[in-house]
Amino acid sequence: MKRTSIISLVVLLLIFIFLILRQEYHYISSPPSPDGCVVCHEPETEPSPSHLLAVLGCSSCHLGNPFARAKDRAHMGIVKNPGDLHFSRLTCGRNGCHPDLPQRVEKSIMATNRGILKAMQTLWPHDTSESVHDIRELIEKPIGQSVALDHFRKMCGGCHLWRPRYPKLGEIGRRGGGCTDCHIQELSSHTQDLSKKRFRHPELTTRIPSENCLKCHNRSARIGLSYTGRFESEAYGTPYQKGGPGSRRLSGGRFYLELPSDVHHQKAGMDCIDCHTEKGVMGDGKIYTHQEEQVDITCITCHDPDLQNENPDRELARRLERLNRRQPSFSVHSYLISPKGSPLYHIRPGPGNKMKLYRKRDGKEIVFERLAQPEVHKAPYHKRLSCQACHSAWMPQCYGCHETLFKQASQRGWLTGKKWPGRWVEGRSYLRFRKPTLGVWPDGQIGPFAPGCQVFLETFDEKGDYQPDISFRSLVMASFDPHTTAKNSPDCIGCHLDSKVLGLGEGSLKVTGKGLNFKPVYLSSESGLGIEFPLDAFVSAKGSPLQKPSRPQGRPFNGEELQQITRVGLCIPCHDQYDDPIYSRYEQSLSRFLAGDAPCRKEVP
Amino acid sequence: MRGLQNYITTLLKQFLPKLQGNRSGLPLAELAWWAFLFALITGVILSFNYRPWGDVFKSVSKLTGWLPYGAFFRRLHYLSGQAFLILTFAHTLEHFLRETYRHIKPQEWTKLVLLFFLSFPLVFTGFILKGDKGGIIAGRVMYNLAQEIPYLGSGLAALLLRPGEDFFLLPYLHHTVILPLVVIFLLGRHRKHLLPKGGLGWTLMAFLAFLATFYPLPPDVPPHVETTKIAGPWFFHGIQLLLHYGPPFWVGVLWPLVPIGLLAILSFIPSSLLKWAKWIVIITWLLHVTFLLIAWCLIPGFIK
Amino acid sequence: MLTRREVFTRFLQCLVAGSSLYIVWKYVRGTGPSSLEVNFSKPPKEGEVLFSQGSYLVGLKQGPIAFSARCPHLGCRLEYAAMVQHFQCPCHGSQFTLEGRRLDGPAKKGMTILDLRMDDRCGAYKITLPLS
Repeated sequence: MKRTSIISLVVLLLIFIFLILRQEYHYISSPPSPDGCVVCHEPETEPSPSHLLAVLGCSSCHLGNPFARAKDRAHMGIVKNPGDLHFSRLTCGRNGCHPDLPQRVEKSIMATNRGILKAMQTLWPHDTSESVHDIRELIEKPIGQSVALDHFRKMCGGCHLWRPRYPKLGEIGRRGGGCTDCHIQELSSHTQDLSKKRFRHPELTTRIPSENCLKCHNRSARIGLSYTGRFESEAYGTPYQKGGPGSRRLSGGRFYLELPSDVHHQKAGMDCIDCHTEKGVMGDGKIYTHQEEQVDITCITCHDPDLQNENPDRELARRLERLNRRQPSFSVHSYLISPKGSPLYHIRPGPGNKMKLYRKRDGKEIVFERLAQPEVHKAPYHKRLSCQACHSAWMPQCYGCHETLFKQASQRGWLTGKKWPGRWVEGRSYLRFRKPTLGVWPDGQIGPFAPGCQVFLETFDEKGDYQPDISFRSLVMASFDPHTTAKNSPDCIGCHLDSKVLGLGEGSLKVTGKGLNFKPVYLSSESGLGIEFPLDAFVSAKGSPLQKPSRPQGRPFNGEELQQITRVGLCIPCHDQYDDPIYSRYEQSLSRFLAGDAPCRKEVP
Repeated sequence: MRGLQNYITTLLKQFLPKLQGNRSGLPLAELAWWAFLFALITGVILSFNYRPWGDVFKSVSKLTGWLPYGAFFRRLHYLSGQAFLILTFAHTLEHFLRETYRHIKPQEWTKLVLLFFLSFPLVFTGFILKGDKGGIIAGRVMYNLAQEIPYLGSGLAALLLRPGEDFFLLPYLHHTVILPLVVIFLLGRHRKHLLPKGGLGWTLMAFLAFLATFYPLPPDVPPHVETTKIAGPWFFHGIQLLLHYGPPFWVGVLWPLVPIGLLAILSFIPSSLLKWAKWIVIITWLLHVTFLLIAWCLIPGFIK
Repeated sequence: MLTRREVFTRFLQCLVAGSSLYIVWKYVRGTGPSSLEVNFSKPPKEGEVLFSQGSYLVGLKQGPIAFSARCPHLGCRLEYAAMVQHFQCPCHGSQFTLEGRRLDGPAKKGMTILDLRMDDRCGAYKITLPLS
C-alpha cells in the first residue's frame, strides 16, 4: 500500500477515535424524549395536566429546533409565548391540538376591538377615508389625521388580544399575549432568569380566574371593578391612612371605594367564566361589531331556563366537564344551553324550583332558585324591562371627559410602541355611583345607561394655537350591563318618579297638568361647558334626546313614555303592590280616575 | 483568438497539471467517483433514521442533534455530495479543454454531459430533503418552475414533487433511488471498473472525514420561521438572482439548460463551426459564474 | 510471507473498519426512548380493568396493580375477556387470571407486573412501560 494511503488510514483512525471518545464521554447518549429542550431547560412545574411535558415536549408549543445542541441553532424560530396570536395557528392551533380556536379568537371582539373603533369613528368627527374596521388594519395603517384614531392608538389600544406580552411590571405587563392573556395563571415568569436550568413554567388553565379579566375590564365601563364591589373614586386617595393616600388602589394611580358587589360575586363567589361561555368570550368564528352581539349569556338562561329543550351537545359538554377537573362526575344529567347553543355543563336543574351551579373554579355547589314571583317578573306592563333595569344596584358614571390634544408634544402609541406628535391630556368633570339612568336599549328592552363618553375636545397645533375647527363636543350615553346585580330592586317610586332614573338628571321633578317640570341641580352653561343641559340629562322634560346613544337603535325615553311612567308614579304611593287590581285593568282604572269616578282623585290630565 | 486560447490553456495547466494525452495529473474522475460512492454509502447509513414523512424537520433535527454520530454522517454525506459535484465539474472542464468531444462518439459525449448534468438534481434533491425552510421553498420553486414549461409542465411537476403531506416523498425517491441508479448505469459504460482501485479513496475519505468532524453545517431554518431572505443551494444562487428580474420560464428553466445543452451537442457540431461553438459554451458558462459571483459578492445580504 | 508494512497496513485497515462499523452501528441502531410513561386519570374500582397504551390497570381487593399487555410468550397483545374475567392471548391461546397468574397455554410465566405509582398532584396513576 502506498505511503499516502497509510497516512490517510492513520488520519481516519484518529478521527474515528476522536469521534467515539467525544460521543461516549462528552455527549449524553440517549436523546431526551420527546425533544431536546429539557437538556438545558428543566421546568419544575407542568404547564397543565393536559399539556404534559413528557407527552408534548416543548417544541410542540414553543417551536424552535427541538434537537439542535447549540443554543443559537436550537433557539432559531423559537416562540417565547406560544399563545401570541401572531403564532397561535402554528402552536396552540396546530393539527391535533386546537385547530379551530385561533381563527375564532382572531375574529372575536377582544382581538378585533371592532366595537371601540366603530364607536369612536362614528361618534367623533372623523374622515371616513381613514376608517378602519379592526385593530390589525389599524396597526398596518400609517398615522393619519383622524383625531379619533389618534386617541385610540394612544389612549385605548392597550387592551386587545393581538398585543404581545411584554416583560413589564404591573398590570400593563400582564396584558396581552393572545391565548395566554386569559389562560395563564399569572406567574411573574418574565422576572425569572431563564438562563438557569430550573424554572417554574407558567400554568395553563381553563378555570380562568376573574383577575385575568380584570386586567383590562377595569377601565371604561369598569364592569370588572363593579362586579367585585369596587368603585373608582376621585383621585384623592381618601380615606387617608396614616396621613397619606389609602391602600385601596387601582392601576394607573387610581383609588377605589368599596360598594356592594354583584350578588353573584357576593353570595356565590362566582367568577366571570361561571356566566360567560367559551363561545361568548372566544367568539364563534363570526365577526361581530359590538360586544353584545358576541356575548353568549343572559340572566334568563340560568334564572328562567327552558327546560323542555334538553338536547345539548353531550360530547362537548362531557369534554369540557372533564377538562375542568373540578366538576362532580355524574354519569347522566341534563345541561342548560346558552343562547348560542353552548352547553352550560356546570349548571343543571335541581329539585323543585331550584337550580344547581357548580363553580368552575372549585366545583362548589351553589343552589339558587329559578325566577320567582311571576306576578312581578311576568307583569305585562313591565315586559320591556330588562333584568338589569331593576336589579342593578348602582352604576359607575364618569361625567364630562375633557380631552386636550397638544400637538407640540409627542406621545407613544400602544399599538406600535412608537412616538409621534400629539399628546393627550384627559380629565373628567366628576365621577358618581348612583342609580343608573334608564333608557331603551338597541334590542328594545329598557335598561341602564351611563356616560360613555361625553367628550369635550380641545386641540392645539404645533405652535400651541387653539384649533377650533377640529375641536368638538360629543356627548354620548352608553347602554351596558353594569354588573352590580342586587337581589332586591328599588321600590317603584325609586324609578317612576326619580328624575335621574328617567333620564332628566339630578334635580327636582314636578308632574303637573301641563307636563313635567324639571329643574336640574347642575348648571352646565354657568359651569362653562357650553351646553344648555346638565351632563346627567339624557333627555329633556319634553322627551327630546339631549345626548347621543352609543348605538343608533338605543335612545332615551320619549315624551310619551315619560308621561306614562310619571303618571303611574302618582298612583304608586297608594297602589304599591304588583297585584293591585288597578294595574290589571290599568286603562280602565285610568279612565275612571280621569272621569273623577275613582275613590282617590287628584288633579292630573 | 488562437493566442487567447493558448493563453487560457497555459493558465489552466498550472491548476490542472498534465493536460496531455489521455492522462491527467490529478485523477479527477477517480476522485469524483470516490466522492459519489462515499455519498452513496453515507446516504444509505443516514436513511436508517431519516423519515421523508411527518415532521421531517423534527426528524432531521433529531438525527443531526442527538443520534450518535448523526451529525458526522450528515456532514460527511453533504461534503461528499459537494465534492462529487465539484469534482465532476472539474473533470468535465478538463475534458472540455482537452477537446475530448472531437475524439469520441457524439452520443458518448452527450451521455457523459448528461451524467455531469445529473449531479445537479442529485445534490438539489438532497437540499430539499433537509426538511427545513430552505429545502421546502426550494422544492416549491422547483415544482412551480416545472409547471412553467409549456404543455409538459404539469406532468413533469407531478413527477418531481407532490404538494401536501407527501411533499418529500418524490424528492426522496429521486435522490435515493432513481438518480443514483441512472448515474451508476451511465457510468457503468464509461468506466472500466465499477469499483475504483487504488489508494486515492483513502486520502479523499480522510480529508472529507476531517472536514466533517469540524466543518459546521449551515443552520437549519425551522419551517415556520418568517424570513424575507431564503437561499437555495449555492450553485443556483445566480439563477435565484435572475429570477428576481426575469420571467421564470426563461431565466429559471431555459437559461440554466443553455450551457449544459450547448456542451452536450458540441460533438454534433461540424468541425468548421466547432471553434465558435466552443467559445459560445465558454461564454455561457462564464455568464453563469458571473451571475453567481454577483449574487455572492456584490449584493451582500441577498443570500444570507 | 507478509512484510511488516503489510501486517501494519492490514492491522490499520482492521482498526479503521472496526471503528467505522462501530460508529455506523451506533447510528443505525438509534436510541429511542426506552420506556413510556402511561397515565390513568382515576383508579379502577374493584374488579375493573382499564387499558391504555399497552398496559392494563386492574382493580384488585388489595389495591390496583399494573400489567404489561404483552403476552410473555411471544409478545402479542392480550385481550381482556370481561365475561370470564381472564386475560387471553389471541395468537397462541395463553390465558391469565385477573391477578396476572398463568392459567393455560404456551406461556411459561404470568403477566409482567409494571411499576405503578400515584401522582400526588392530580391523583393520576402513572405506569412505566418498557418499550424493548
